[in-house]
Amino acid sequence: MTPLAAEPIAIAQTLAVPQRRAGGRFDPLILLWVALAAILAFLVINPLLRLVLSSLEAADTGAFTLQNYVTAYGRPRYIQALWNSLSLGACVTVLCLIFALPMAWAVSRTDMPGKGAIRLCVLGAFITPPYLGAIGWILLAGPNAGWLNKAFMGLTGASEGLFNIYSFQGLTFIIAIYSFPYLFIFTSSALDVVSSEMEEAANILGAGTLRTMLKVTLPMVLPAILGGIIVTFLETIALFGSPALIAIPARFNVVTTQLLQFFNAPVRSEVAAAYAVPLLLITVVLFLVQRQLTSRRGFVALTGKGGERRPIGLGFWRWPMFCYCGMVLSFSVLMPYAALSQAALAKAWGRGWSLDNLTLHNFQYLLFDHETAGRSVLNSFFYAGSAAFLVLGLSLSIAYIVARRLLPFASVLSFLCMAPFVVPGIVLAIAFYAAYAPPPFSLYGTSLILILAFTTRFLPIGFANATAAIRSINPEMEEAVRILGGGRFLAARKVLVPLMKNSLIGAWLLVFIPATRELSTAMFLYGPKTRTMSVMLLDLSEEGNFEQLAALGFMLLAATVVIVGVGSKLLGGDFMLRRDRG
Amino acid sequence: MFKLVTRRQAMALGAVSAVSMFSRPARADLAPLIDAARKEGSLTWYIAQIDGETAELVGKSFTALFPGVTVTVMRTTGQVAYERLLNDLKNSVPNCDVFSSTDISHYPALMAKKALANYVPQNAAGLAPAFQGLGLDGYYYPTTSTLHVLGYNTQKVTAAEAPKNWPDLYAPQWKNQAATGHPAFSGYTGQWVLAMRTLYGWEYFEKLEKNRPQIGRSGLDPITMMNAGERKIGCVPLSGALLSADKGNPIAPVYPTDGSILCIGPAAVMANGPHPNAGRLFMEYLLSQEFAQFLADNRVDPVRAGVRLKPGAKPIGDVKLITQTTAQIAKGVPEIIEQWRDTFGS
Repeated sequence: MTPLAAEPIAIAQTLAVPQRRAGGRFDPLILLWVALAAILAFLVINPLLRLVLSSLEAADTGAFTLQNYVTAYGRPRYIQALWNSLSLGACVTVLCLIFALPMAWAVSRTDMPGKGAIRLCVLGAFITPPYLGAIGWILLAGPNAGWLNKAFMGLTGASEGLFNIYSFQGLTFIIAIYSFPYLFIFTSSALDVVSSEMEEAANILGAGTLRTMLKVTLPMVLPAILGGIIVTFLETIALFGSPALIAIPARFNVVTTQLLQFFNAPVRSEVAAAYAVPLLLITVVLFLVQRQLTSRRGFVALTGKGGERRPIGLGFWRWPMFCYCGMVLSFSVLMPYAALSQAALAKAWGRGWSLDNLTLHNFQYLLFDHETAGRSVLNSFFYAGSAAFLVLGLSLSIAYIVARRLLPFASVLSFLCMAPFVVPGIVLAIAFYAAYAPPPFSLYGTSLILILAFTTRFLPIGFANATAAIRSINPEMEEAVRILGGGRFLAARKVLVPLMKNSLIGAWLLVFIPATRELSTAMFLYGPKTRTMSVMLLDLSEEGNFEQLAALGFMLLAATVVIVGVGSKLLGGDFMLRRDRG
Repeated sequence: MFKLVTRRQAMALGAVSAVSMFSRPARADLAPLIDAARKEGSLTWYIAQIDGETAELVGKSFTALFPGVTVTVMRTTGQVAYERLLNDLKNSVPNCDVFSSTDISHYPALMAKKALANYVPQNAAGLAPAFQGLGLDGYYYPTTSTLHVLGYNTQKVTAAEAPKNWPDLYAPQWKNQAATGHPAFSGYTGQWVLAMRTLYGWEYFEKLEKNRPQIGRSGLDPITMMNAGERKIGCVPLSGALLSADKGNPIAPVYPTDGSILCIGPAAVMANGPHPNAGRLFMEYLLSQEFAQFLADNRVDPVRAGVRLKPGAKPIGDVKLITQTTAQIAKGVPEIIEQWRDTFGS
């Protein structure tokens, strides 16, 4: 996965001269290889193996059986849920393409006004937990009491509202407005490093702006778009929070809500495993298709060496383009937050804006009177932060070994680092549950299992970034250290780390942010002392406590903004969006 | 005395009764339990019978009564709490000390797994006669109760228009205007569904589905929906509706003419709980007169006699009740959850 669209740079640097390993003698680095392999076996291989094995075991006896698969796929309702998820994933992806591609193109390649503000709002959409946004949209588009519907009924005198958020379309929409940042980031950062030469060539040959974009620019960044499509699809089918809020009232199930049903009494985790395994296969197939699609063509245009990049003049279309971007972003940021702020400050949100309905009680209650709310905030940040450090440490070591070809079979490690990418979050949680919840590990309900699960879940993000960062650094600087008598670790510490500081902070944040809002992994693994904020939000939503939920959402947001702000300060700029490396 | 108890008042109430609990010679033998509970320092309470805010308040007032013993409150719906507990048991990771579900049939099932501690609370002797024998002596006891009734938004519906009996929920004028919980999440909603099936057959829900009710998860969800104006009527736990009305929300309950469903909220100390003494002490608290009054002040029906009720709630003796046995619930609720999913699709 390449959320930073590190891919272009990575591809550009693949030709970096590999270093030859000192032959013959025993290399102590082998021990490091073994250690890393062991860690990855623990984080990746064992859980997935346990998942597959437990899907083939009878619940009580542990004997081999296919019965779990029969149970898991034996009812039309269960298969319908799988179909719902797949079509939801497809619809969301299409909608995300419609939202993200024009925006990415406009921000990266044109002279559209307000590009900074647009990037900032995309960041806002990215750090918003999708289920929090979903609550905002329930307040906006609830069929009878949603603000938009009330306004519509007030204006037209109609007896029914225009929108029903409790529908398949509603769910598609609210997932898409929080998923499109993946595609945006992938596409815009790939576009950022494409030079203008080919576009100009097309222009000279008589193609207009639109035709050039469709025929030249977009095809050049196709690998990034495909990557974004796959991420969007996978994230959608792995999502739990928004479907729990929307799909239950809308009367349909998706894979994640169905998986949860197998954990109803009597707990049938073996059946859940069996239900999850085909999902794994689907994602593996997706990846093979992507490989196939991108390998047939060359994408050498992406040299990253940068010819000149001039913004395309949009003329009259500058403002309509800006309005389009603004519209999408007001869907995902401005409107839901306006609705949520009313709820967070209300005694009862149904009463709307009025002075006697205003209160700070919800914040005061959560901060001072609630036994576990404060702890759940700290838990979230602690787990996300720890996981981000673990991910960075692991992926840097492995990326270094792989990039410098220090050891044989290094590619095995890199494959294992990327493997969790094909595992939807909720499947990963079930795999971790199967592997480490029961004795002998008995990690169920501990902080450790959450940190390790988050680490595994976000390892591919870290690894893709670490690989890109390391490949962008010419080995000759480290060689200089070694020629002067320094060891490899000294070289790494004194040369590599300072050079990569910025990309490392960026990578850390890119793991940290999604980890703070991660729900589907957390909800199977948390215990009373290890409840995260995402789980807490879900619990509050269950009893319909939207006032406190909204207040908690704002607290999460405020804390995230502070951390991202500090990160950006350290970087001296935007951490995830700008790719100009000079 | 009839106003909503604030947190500070609850603390004060706690402080007063701590003295009374200590001073009464009959309870002097709780002292070793209190000491042992203090050494453990905390307990974890899986609770589904009341809303999260009230549950936190219970934890606080317990701590005020027994300083040094804090309560970690895990408020979820009953079925979710039970799933969590079963996962704990399956993985031999005991988290829960006291389990307060909304589905009494969970308790015999947990007994069969030998998961409940054998403990006879001293305060169990004070249960009102109607509630004695509803649990299993030495293992689980009713600690709260509520009625499952109808409710309506008072700004959108007049008392005369409001539904009077359960079949009114599917009357045509309430198309897109009713709200319910979900039996796979809410234990009380499950008991309501089961009672309706017994009374009117499953066709009741097929007719209801034609009205497209809003389906939430918790039994409290319809209250939110009605407060918001998203729905006009719904089926709700009486305690939640009255508490919400006390807070100034436009909601009023209706005791259905064909019967209110009596829902028992039991509690038990877990056998493998990490804080066995704090758990037992908390169980004593849940069965105490102080807690019964606290419940009444927070609109939950107490299980002890001699409690001052707030105005607006009928004494339970004046209400036409539908009661169901634990065995009926144990057999029926899993069935109706499946039927529900077939009829409503989720």
